[in-house]
Amino acid sequence: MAEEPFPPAPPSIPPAAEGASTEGAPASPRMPWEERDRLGYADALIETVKLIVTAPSEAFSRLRSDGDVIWPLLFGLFFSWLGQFFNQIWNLIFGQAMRSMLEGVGDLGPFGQLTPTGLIGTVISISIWPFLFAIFILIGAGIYHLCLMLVGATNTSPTGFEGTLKVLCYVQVSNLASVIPIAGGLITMVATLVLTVIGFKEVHRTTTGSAVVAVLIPVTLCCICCVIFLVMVFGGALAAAMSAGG
Amino acid sequence: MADPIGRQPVADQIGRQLGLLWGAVSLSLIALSPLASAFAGGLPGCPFKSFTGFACPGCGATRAALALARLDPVHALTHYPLPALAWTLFITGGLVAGWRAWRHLPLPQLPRRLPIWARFGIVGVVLVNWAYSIATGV
Repeated sequence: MAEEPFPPAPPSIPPAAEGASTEGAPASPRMPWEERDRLGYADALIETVKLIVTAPSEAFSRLRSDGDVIWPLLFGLFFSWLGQFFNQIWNLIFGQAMRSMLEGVGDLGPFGQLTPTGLIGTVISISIWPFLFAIFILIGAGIYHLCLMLVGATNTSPTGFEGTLKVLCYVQVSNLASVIPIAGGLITMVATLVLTVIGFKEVHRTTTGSAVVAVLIPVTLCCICCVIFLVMVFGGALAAAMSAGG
Repeated sequence: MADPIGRQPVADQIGRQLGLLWGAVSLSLIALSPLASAFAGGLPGCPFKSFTGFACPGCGATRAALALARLDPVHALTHYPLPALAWTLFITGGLVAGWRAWRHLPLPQLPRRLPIWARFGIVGVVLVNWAYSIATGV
């Protein structure tokens, strides 16, 4: 099977013509997770995490179009599930306390309807997460890919939808931040956005600007509500602190 | 075309895996549609609308899905046209892609480059839908 590498960014590695055989050429390094048969599953997993955290550009430039999207999906599912597990645990422990604190800020609008999940809700949520992940990742990749096409980021892309999907799978590593209680969710959100931009830039061989715009379109359209909520909560907390101090 | 040891070309393999995945997700969504109300019950309302009084660009997506889940496409399309259309295309496309992948039939490739008229068209449709949502008080 002729392997089609996503042409690496020049000048570090010379570009390969699409569909050209890489036989005889020095093998460029691959994402460790794509070499799990050689490295072993545990080592490949750990090395991939290390690479994505320490050198995300290099990590995403190592992705190959090798006809497999299932293993990257399983990689993403593992970390997403881990994040969901910790989120639910923290929610179970701190949920009521957080709600009491936020109620002091003022009217929470529609978010006031949210209640911390109980133990049964937590177990159900963790149990059905793999199914929800498959739905969310596919719809998310579709939306992001449309945005990438809208800004022209895929014009010279050596890959297509597969590259977008793989990036979204590998950025799930950011869910590791969920082990940090309370602030972990926010760190995960920011890390996911940053890694997604870097991933799209490398995989689709586009500019940082195009990748940023493509990532921010759905965030702006769909998460405008979350932004308002955060501004309201932090603004309210700041105002309360200032009035208490003054 | 299969190579001498029977493996499919990369593009075919990717297309087949994605087709099967999309099909499985579509089937799952259809199978779970009777439970849609229970799932959606825990979701908060739209804060943008709550604070500004106007629908946000994404308003109506959940309600469109719920209307389609209770087999009321007329309500979905008249009240939330773009989300309803998007859900319908997603589910139908998934069923078609899944079936074609299952049968080892070729799947169409997404274009790399969108013509400029298509880009403006998509942005225009989203804006028109947003205006419609605000005008109809979605």
